[in-house]
Amino acid sequence: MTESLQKKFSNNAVDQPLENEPVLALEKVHYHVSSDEEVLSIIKGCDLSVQPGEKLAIVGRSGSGKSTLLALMAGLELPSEGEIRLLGQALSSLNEDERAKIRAMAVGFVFQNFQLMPSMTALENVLMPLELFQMPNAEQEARSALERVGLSNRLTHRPSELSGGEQQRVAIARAFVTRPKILFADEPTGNLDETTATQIQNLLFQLNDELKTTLVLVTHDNRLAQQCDRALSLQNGQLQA
Amino acid sequence: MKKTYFLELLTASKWFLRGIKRGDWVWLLLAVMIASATVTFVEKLGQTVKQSMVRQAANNLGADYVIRSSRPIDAKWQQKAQQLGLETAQAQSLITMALSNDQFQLVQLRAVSPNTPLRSQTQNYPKVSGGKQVWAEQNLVSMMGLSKDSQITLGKQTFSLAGSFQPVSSGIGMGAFAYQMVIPLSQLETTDLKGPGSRVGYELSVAGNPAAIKNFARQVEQAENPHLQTLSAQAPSQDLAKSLDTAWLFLELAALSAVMVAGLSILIASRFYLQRWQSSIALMRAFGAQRAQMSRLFAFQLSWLAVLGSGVGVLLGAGLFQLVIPVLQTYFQSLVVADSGWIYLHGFLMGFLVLWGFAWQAFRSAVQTSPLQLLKSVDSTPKMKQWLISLGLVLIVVISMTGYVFWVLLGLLMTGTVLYLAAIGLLKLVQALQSQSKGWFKLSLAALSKEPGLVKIQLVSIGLVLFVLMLMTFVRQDLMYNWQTSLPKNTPDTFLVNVQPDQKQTVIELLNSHQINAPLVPMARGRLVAVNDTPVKAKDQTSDRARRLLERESNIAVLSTLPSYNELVQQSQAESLTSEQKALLTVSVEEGMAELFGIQLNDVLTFSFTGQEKQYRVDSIRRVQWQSFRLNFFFIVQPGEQPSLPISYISNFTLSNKTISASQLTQQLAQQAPGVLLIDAKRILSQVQTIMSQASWAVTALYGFTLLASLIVLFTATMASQQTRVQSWLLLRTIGATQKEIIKIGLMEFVLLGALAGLLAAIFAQLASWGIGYFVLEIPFSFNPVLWVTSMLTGIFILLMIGWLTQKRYLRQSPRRMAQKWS
Repeated sequence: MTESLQKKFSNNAVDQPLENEPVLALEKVHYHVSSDEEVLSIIKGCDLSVQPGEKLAIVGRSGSGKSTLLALMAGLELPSEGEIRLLGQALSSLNEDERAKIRAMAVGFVFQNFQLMPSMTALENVLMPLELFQMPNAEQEARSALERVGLSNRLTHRPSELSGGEQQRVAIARAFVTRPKILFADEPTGNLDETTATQIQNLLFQLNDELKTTLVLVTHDNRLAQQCDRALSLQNGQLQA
Repeated sequence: MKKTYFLELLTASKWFLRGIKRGDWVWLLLAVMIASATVTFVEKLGQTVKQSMVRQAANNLGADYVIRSSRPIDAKWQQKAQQLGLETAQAQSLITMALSNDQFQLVQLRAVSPNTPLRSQTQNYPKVSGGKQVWAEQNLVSMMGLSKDSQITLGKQTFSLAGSFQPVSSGIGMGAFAYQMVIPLSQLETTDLKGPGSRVGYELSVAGNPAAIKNFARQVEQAENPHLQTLSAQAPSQDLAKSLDTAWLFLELAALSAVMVAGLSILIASRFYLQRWQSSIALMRAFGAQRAQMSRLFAFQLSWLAVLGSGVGVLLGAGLFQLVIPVLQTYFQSLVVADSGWIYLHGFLMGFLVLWGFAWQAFRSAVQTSPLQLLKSVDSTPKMKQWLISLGLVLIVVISMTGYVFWVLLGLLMTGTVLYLAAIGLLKLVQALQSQSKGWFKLSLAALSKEPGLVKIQLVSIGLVLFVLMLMTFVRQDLMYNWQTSLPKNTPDTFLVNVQPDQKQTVIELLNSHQINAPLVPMARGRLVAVNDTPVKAKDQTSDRARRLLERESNIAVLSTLPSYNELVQQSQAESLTSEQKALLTVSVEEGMAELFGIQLNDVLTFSFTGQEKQYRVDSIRRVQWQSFRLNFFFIVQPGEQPSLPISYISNFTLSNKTISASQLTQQLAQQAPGVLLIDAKRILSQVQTIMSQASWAVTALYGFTLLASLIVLFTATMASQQTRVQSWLLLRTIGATQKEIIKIGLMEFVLLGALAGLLAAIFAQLASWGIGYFVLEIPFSFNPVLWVTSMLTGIFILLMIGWLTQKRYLRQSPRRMAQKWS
């Protein structure tokens, strides 16, 4: 991370976790949704602790609640019961804007369907989070992030002019450009063919190692999960080793 | 904190500029431009025409503002006017006999100060100097057989004729006409005509800066001096005012429809953008942006859009106005181009308001987007409060543009609701038809009912656009035609007044000898003084019109049967009357007058006829077509058994289709029936007709704006549903549909939409035509079958063309390309 970027984030900083304290911790987390007729439990008493720099995979079938768990861990949603601590902060004690501040400071995302802005160029897509928080040298940072993922010759291309693999590279560059402490990836290779999926997976792990980021990814791809330090399975709303 | 906002403004500006370069905002920008260009253009046109007409009226009046009194006007008024920087002129007038060539002639003698008139075209009015000179109206010159240097005796003084002039129609009302002679004010005393009993009219004319005139007029009104009558170039005659009102109504409605259609395209375009905004906001929220921050970033961008669109729109509107100046110059001899900064500000603000009013829903929905949307679908229904905010902003637009707020809002609301209900009905019909049909037709029906919410919006918007187009094409033609022909070819253009009872037979014979068959209507000059024993006084009236009406005597017809061209609105029932009521003579009151003074059936009105008071019971209330130029009266009283009223006769007829000219007839009347005045109303008529053609022309110009805005709506409506459409074609191609079938299915959707929207539009246009004609213009209903056919065919044709133009590249693309483009 450049000095200026570090300074910007430290200004925003919430309490930093102590050394060896988990980056992410779940304690008896439940999540249920209620309809007119019934209450549906999606997450049932999950406990989890993720250490700094760890690569964790959460595997599960389609509809098992993986994306909901990811949303809870990233503070996009609050659990019905239990507590989640992200970077040392108990999320249930924070309001939406305070949770957003934590995300702004130290969280990155990669999505299955890339979530790139179709009318923006690759460079503009990567620039977006930097400009959102008025980061200095934004363009220089974005260019170097795209260079790092091997797309320095695709800066002015729009998503529709890029292949699926290239689009996911842009999304990865965008996720890493703010040097997050923890990166959440939702089925990052789900929309890609096998060869491209391997390339993306390698890129993700490589950047993760270089930048000492903690990686939490949800996938139904066992092969990808096995490459991680640890893989947990989400079955019937519970996490199992 | 302030620094944060500034930085956010910078970021938003950067994003906005990038969006502009990419063409992201193009539809919204065009719509805002059209809205503010329309408002600027209409406002500039409207104010210019109004100011030019006021200037014309001022030229006719000879001043911007005139005080008249039967007593000498206090010198303080002249001083006050001069203190305000206004020019002043004085005049005194009296009716007297002029003697020349042994011939006496009744004239209105005007003694004027040297700077009279303050406003006029010089050829129309003499510039008097101080000597014993007189100027005579052209009609008098021919009537009395005068020539240059003829000697004319007025009272004790003899003047020599210095020249003649043609007074322009004052436009103030028929009573103001009289044949004039003009002498210098300094010479009036020498005539010795101002005896103790003589009736002299005093005038103080002022002219100058409109704000100073307004200030002066306010001071005069505040003085509440019952002897002071005022005339303003701002308030033209009743006939002109009514025509002008109708003309502005057309202009207002045309402008409002252009702005509303532009608003509609903003509404649809913002829905189209909403999806994109939601994706980017969800993403930014996931990255850690706070909701308030997102609101500000988007509000800044939309505001930039409003600034750019409105700015360009104002320039466009002003530029277009420059193009029409030469056309206006053909209508007005002295064109006063409106140059108030408020016009540009109003145009600019309207662009802003229209954008925010119609895009508010999409904006609010977008900034409320949850970051969760990135992972799963989240329901977001706009809240009632947001709809109310939208409605409030649109209401401001409507209020600032028209005086018919209630009717316009009611019309919009009803049209929108019925179109919406009709859209629901159609979708049900489509679903029912779907099970009965097969092949590609079934698939196109299915495509239509796949996304009902969007189809409803499309149907409402396309229906509304076609409705406005039909209204502006057919109804405009219809109404314009009816309206212009509401002045029939044989509209009376000549009035005879002051025919004394003993001259009646002579006048009838004279007219008959020229094949003029005109009624001579008995009338008396009178003034309303009490309603049910409650005195009505000018100073107690809040409305200017009521005050003016009470300040001077009006023509009251004395007739036992009402004119056939007056429409009876209310009539009292003879059986319910008391014997006391039955004993009174009756009066029929004009509807507007009844409303103005709160007069109801069987009220007892007291009139003063030259000091003699008489009571009448209100027997009926009539509606009068003031624009018809027929003999119309506010009051028609029943003649009593004893003809004790000071009766004279009034008549009108069409002279333009006869062989005799107005001046020839004037001469013959002067010889056979002295004192009878002939008034040539052609000038007033031509003014009215000019206004009508101006309005008709301006409405046509605005029609172009509406058409442009409508096309944008149709394109945005198509773009809004593009993704769903392409996805369903993709699916059909994937399961083996041929390209030909896809084209049929794709285009049939547009045909169906166009046909139904056209049908709905025709129903509404016909209804609106009836409504506007009946309630506003008071013209009869006409059914127009061509409107129905054209509306539907236009709907189908336009939608098909737009469908083909926007869809052909997708219809011909391979499924893979299509998928890539829309992934």
